[in-house]
Amino acid sequence: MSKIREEFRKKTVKQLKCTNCGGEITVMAKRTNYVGCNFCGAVLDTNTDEYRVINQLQPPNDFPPKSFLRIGMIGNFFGKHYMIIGRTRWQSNYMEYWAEDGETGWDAETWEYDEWVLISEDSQYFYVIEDASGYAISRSYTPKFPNINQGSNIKDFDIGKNRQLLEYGGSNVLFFEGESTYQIKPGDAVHFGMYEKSKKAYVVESRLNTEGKIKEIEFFSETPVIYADMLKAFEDDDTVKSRKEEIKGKLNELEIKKKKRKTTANLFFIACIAVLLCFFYTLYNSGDDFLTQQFPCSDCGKFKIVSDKQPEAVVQKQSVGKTQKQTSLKKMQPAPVKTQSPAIHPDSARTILTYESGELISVDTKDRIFTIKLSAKFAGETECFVVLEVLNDSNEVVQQIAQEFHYYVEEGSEDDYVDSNESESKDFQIDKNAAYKIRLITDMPEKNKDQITFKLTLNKASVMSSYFLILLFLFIFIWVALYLRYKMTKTGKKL
Amino acid sequence: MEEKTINCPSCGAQLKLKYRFSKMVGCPYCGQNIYLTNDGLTPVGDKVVLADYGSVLGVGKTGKIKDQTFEVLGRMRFDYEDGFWDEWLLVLNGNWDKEYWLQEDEGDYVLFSKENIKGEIPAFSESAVGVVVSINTRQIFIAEKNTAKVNGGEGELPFQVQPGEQADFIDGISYGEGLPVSIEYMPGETALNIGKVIELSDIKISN
Repeated sequence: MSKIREEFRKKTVKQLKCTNCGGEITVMAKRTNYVGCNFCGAVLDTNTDEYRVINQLQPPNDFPPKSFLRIGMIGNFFGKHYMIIGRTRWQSNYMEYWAEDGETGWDAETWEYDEWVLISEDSQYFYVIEDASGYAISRSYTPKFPNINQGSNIKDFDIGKNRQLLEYGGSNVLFFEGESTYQIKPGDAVHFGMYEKSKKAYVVESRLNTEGKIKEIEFFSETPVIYADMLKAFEDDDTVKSRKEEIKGKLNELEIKKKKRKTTANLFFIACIAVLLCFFYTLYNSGDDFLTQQFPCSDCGKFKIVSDKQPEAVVQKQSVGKTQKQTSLKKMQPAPVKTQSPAIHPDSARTILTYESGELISVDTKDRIFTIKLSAKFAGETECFVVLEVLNDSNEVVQQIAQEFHYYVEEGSEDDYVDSNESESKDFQIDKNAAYKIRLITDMPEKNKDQITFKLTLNKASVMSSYFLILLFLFIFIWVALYLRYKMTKTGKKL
Repeated sequence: MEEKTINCPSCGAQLKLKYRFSKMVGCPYCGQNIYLTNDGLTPVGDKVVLADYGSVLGVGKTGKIKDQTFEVLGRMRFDYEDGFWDEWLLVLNGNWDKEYWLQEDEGDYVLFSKENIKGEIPAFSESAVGVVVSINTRQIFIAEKNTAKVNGGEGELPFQVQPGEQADFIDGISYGEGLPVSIEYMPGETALNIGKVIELSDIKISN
């Protein structure tokens, strides 16, 4: 490639300094008449040795190339080597045809594109049009049926029949760098019309003079070129080679980054599975019931009735309680406890039973989480109040449930409905190895005491299932986020 | 073909003339343009040596364009606001009675041959780009209208021009045929040329 470049250089007719900024300019094509300084944007006339500045365009920094193409690069097209010698940035204001759902119309659009001019060693030219959507090779074309679009109408250049014009409008020069065979002026304008046939675009372009009259009409056929093919055409160019190495490095970095992200996402996926398994394990293997007991009971097992008194008595007993917790328990007693009058009507009389586990229940696992589930089963309409306490070996309340249960059938406008609360559970943690006692205090209407059965279930570790469920949702959320991050990690399709 | 030899009135170099219609010759040694008249040789204008901008063609070169042999007799160069172009005078297939001009412009080649004008031809000033005019039996779509000036010439030429002379021209395309058309409004003569697009790969140089 360097040899080819050298061949081009041998044919160089001018090496000059920009008369505006002093920048070094190399003119590669012998037939070049005008050159745009790629340092300051000045356009010089190279037909004389004065290199007169004929125009001052905007500096190149304002219009960087859209992809990897650069002036001086050499590519392989049509079996020959071509060098990029110039670039013109055009801005188009045009009408674009659309057809959708049987309707058609025109939309006003604005677009920018670069027109690269390439020259071969034997002075053949063609253009590469580059915009945000890709590339097209544009070549001069002599139509059999030359015509310019009249508004939105145009005739096929090859067969002379009407064609649907797809775009028409005007383009202006925004910027120019490198070499040109014709004079580029800021604001230089062309009118154009374009139609498509057989995946090619056919363009008629009218160059206008300063008075706005048509100076010249040219015809072009444009063949789209995909990025990979354009890159391949320049694959031997030193710039592309070094850029490819650079990109390759970046691609490797991106690939490694993407692999890491994939691994992280996969680890979280495995973690999700693990948590899911734990969830199901703890859901269906939540540990043995530590304690199950029904009250009232004929055989209370570990429990025994320690008190069977009227409310007044209970109040008195609670009032001499030793612990703060017990004091608060008193406060949580239902109103009837406090408001019992000495003369108790038989219908409002209440029974208060206090059960205590006769034996201390040893807990030898520290930080074990337990679930107390307390439920009431009703044989008829009534209500009750239950206090469950866990006491340590000093008879101090360390955990407590105070709950009102009820069961009523209410009359509705259409159907009766049940208003009930029959179950309550609580998780709690035992923070030290010790022996504990459980006390259950039930308060219910005397006349309905046979209609209520309480059930106490003490279960260890079953609460973990709900924790695992929360953890599972959290892990799934994190996994989804990580997976999306992995999928969105670019590996780079473009230079 | 009858070859005639002259000596450049400026530098004395021996010049061989092959084309019997030559009215002008540019000395390849000193750049002197010489009018060929019945009275003899008249040097005209300044000595002009055309800058070499690189071309596969050159005065005296022979070869083939597709299946036709050619020999380059002379060249004219025209300047205009957007650059310049060369026109090479060719003899095709040894036919010395017909002029062929191979136009070389920015890497594009068109082989023109002169066509007699029958009837009216639009005046340069009345022609407009983008309209179709009727010339002979052809409908000509005017694609460009401009004014050039003669930059110089070399070799043998069938007319007498001087560098700097104005040359108005219209370039067009014959509608329905897709053939390039060139109308040159030279002093004293308007020429209609019908062309054919030639690819560079179609031109094979022998020497």
